[in-house]
Amino acid sequence: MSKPTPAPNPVPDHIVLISRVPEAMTTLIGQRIARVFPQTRIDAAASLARAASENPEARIVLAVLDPVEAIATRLAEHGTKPEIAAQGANAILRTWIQEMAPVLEATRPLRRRLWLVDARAMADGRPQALSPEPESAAVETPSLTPPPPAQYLALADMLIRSDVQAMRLAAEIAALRRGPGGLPLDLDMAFAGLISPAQETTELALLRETLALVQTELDANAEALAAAQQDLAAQDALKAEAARLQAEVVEQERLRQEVGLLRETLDLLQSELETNVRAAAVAQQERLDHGVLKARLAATERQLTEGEEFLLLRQEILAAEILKLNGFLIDERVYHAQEVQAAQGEIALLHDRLQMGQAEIDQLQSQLQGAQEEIGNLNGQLQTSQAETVTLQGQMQAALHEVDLLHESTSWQVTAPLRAVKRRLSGQ
Amino acid sequence: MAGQGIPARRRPCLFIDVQHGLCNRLRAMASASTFAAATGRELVVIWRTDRHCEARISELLQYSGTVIETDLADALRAASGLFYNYMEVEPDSCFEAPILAGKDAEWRGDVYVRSAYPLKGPHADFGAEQAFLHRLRPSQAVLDMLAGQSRPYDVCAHIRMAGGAAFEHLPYESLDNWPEHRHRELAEWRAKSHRDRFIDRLDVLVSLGQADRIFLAADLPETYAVLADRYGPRLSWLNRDLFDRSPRQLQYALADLLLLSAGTRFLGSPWSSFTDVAQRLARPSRPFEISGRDF
Repeated sequence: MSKPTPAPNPVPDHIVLISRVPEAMTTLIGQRIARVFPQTRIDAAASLARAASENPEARIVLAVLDPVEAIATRLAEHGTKPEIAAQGANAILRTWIQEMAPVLEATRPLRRRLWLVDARAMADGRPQALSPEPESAAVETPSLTPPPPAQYLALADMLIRSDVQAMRLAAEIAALRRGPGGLPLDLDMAFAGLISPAQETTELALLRETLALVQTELDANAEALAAAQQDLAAQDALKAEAARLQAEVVEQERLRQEVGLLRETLDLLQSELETNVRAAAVAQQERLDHGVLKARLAATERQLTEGEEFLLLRQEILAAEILKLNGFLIDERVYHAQEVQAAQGEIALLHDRLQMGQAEIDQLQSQLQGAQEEIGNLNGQLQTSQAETVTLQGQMQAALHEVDLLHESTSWQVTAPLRAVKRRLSGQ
Repeated sequence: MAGQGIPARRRPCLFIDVQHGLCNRLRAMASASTFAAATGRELVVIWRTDRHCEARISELLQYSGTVIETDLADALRAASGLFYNYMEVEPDSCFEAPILAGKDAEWRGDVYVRSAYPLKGPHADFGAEQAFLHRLRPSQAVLDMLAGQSRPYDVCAHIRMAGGAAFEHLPYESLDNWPEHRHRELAEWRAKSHRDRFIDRLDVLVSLGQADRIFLAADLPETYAVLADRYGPRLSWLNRDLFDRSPRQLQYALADLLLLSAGTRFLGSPWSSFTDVAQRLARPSRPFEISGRDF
């Protein structure tokens, strides 16, 4: 997949160059940058941290060798440098990893103002990543150190592919790099550089086959690694999706609570609104009532005014009548005075007669009292007589009873004839 | 509002928003008073001046009832639980809808009626309306106009002939006051109350000796001129130079009304509230004739 063409870079005012290559190459790189940005101030720094802290506004250019070239260079120096001679290929790889990992770590916070470039490409005069100029062929620079032999490039490439961390670092460098970079890798040329055709033996043929097999195995491992990385990426994606869903659930819960609060707030506002509307309606009704009552008051005032006018008129009429009556009354007064006098005489007479009548009444009352006393006495006598009468009646009844008993007695009946004879003899 | 469950802290009212000219307003007031009395409501008269009547009620009558003359009436109209509108040209109107009838009879709050006509309904009472009209007292300005007029008259005449296309430019005769069919009716009746008809009838009464003293009320200066020229000293009228709806002219109109009611016989114009009220203010069963119908 080809990298997208970067937009033309704005011209920086200040560039700080950090180079992890030999000094000669660093000098060439500085010259290239100066040609691309003639008006820009260019400084060098030993480390990224220092460059960032001392030049907070400057653009930072980090020039590194392509990972394959870097490792291949060390492999090529194996036979010439004592410090490397004791190391095997894997150790050389590990050393490169240990050097580059912190460098790339340090670039992460500076990505916004960092330009990572391929040192050889810059030194070769291919600074298209920094320049708005169209891509052009490299400028041959005889003083530039030639790249390591192809066989070392091939070996370095295999070493990088055999290590996950090295692959990751190489990929990161490739992603960060602006502009062209990396050396072409020709396995045939590499193999031809290892062994000449006149010295090819069966053993070398076997080595060749072994190399091809290793390469095939490496390719397969690379594919498996890519697949595993894809799986890992898929798992990471799933994890991220799960985390996203979890966050969504949390967010939904938060939203649900927020909606609940908003609903409560809405209910309160609605209730407040209804209260305000009712209060406004009450106020409006009171205002209307006030208007009607004010009109009624005006009508009442008119009535009062009319009433007062009517009363005044009436008073005037009555005053005239009173005056008229007053004259009439004066005449009447004289006439009535005589009448009053006569009436007074009559009253005196009646008073005398009243007194006489009163004396007569007193006398009659005393007579009445005497008569009442006598009646009382007579009543007492009557009661006494009544009691005697009752007694006498009782005696009479007793006597009559005795007579009846006598008449019923045997002696009376026996002597009846004798009484008859006596009566005859006496002429009764 | 009273119509929205807010009880008014006062006795419920019947608001009568009287419309159009003097006698339209008086009849509507009288009619509304019977409805108010029958339903225990206070009568509140809404009397606002307009192109039909530019006089305030106090300029015409010594009216001691409650009157509202401002646009507070519009708010009262909106707040009243029941609203009736007899004005046919206005939206949401229903001419002669029965007032406080049927389910409306259960309503106990304010009622607002906008009308230029007597109200219809179960509480209409012609006798009570008559009593109301007869109790009305004219203002002092109107009473002053009556001074010097010796009554009664043998014949009183009200000639209302201004109407139709020639007078539609006048705001109170304009086409937008009534629906088209009513405007046509009015124009037809106005044509039947031309002064010539009245002259023919008066001539007959004069010949019979029944029109020695004539009082005239008319709506055109030409009518006064023609009849004055014809009948000379027999004719009486209130002299004026106003023939509009100004306050002063309306005072003359009310004075005319009272004088018209004092005639032994009355010749009136058809489809005229002025003729109607003049007859209603007279003694009961006063003989009257209507132009276009009786002569």
